[in-house]
Amino acid sequence: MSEIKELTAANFNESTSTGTWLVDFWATWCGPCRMQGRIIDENLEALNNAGLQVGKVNVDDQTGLAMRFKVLSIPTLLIIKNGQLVKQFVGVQQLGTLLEAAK
Amino acid sequence: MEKLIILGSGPAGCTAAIYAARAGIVPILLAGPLPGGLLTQTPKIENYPGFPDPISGFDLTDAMLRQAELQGARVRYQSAKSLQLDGTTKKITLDDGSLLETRTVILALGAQHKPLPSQGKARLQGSGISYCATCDGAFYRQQAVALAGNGSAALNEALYLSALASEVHLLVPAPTLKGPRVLLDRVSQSTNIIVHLRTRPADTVADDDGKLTQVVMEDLSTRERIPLACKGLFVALGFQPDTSLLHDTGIALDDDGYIKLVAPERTLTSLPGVFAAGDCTDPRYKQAVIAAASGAKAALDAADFLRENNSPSTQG
Repeated sequence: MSEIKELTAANFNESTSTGTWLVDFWATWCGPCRMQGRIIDENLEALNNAGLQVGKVNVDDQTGLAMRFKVLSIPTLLIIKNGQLVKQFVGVQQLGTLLEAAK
Repeated sequence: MEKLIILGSGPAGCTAAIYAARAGIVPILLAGPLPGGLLTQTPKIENYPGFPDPISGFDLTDAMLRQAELQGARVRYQSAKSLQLDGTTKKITLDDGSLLETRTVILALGAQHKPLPSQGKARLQGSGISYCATCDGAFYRQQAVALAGNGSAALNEALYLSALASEVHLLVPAPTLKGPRVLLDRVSQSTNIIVHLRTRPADTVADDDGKLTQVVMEDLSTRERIPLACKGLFVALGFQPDTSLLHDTGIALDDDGYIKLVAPERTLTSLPGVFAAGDCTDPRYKQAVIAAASGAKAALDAADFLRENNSPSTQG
């Protein structure tokens, strides 16, 4: 099982350039974001098995990344394949939706 | 075969899990599409007994989830995809495709936000329209925002936003502001909440980047349209039961989609072995403490059902 990676402006491009990534934009003040985090944490093995590597972006610390992806509502979840943004979800997403997005 | 599966992990579901676990029926608590339920969006709770200092909805539901786990409930951060609730064995298919079988079910499905009517069911989110002030308020620091709604939840959100935004235009469809006196007083004392009675957001205007620049407010008396320079529109138009999963299951719903309870003061639904609690049964009050109490009732009703349908000699 691969760990959840803390993504920053410094490592974002390099980290997400290969493979399929689920990137979770969140903040500590946002209750639903923390529950989204729990859906991801508790199902990390299933997400990894579906081929997803998982990264998190704290929008408080990473305002530049939030602006780059026009994040105005959190949680926002991105699916990035080999560096290309292929999907952007707004609001808490269920495991089933994330597994489907990995395909 | 499980004895009890609880769908939903807001105050009703968590309390049901605590009571069931203590009755010796170690339940599975399916956390559902939003673990903790809509209460996780509430910035500050001051009316839940036992918490004299304000507590956030996240912290309160997180404590409930931890309490359920401590008592032995098995919390799974998954959702049901389909339900077969008739018969003595209930079948629940999860969102990863796995199947659970159980003898009893507690439906604590909660509520969801009513969408802006002009947009129908397709919720426009993430481009300046938000259904969660605690989630998104911080993106609008020192900017003007509008909030559509009335009642306790809307007032709470307006007060939360007023601490971040430069001004909050509160668009109230009714002729009067409604809510607990304590919140009404705080809103009237606020220097940057501007209340517009008998209005609704009729339209929004965005710039070339898709960012919201204006909310067009309609005066419901005169039909006049008034543009407000706002960067965000928050929606708090009330709640509807989150019961779409129940269509074609045989569970009786009322015209508005709330689960019908079939026995006075109890939590029995139209199907034996299926119980319901919380906001999905409650068109009127929608309070965390009431949801929690009904969750306790549902667990006790499920325990009775299991006892009565297992070994009748041990009844009472």
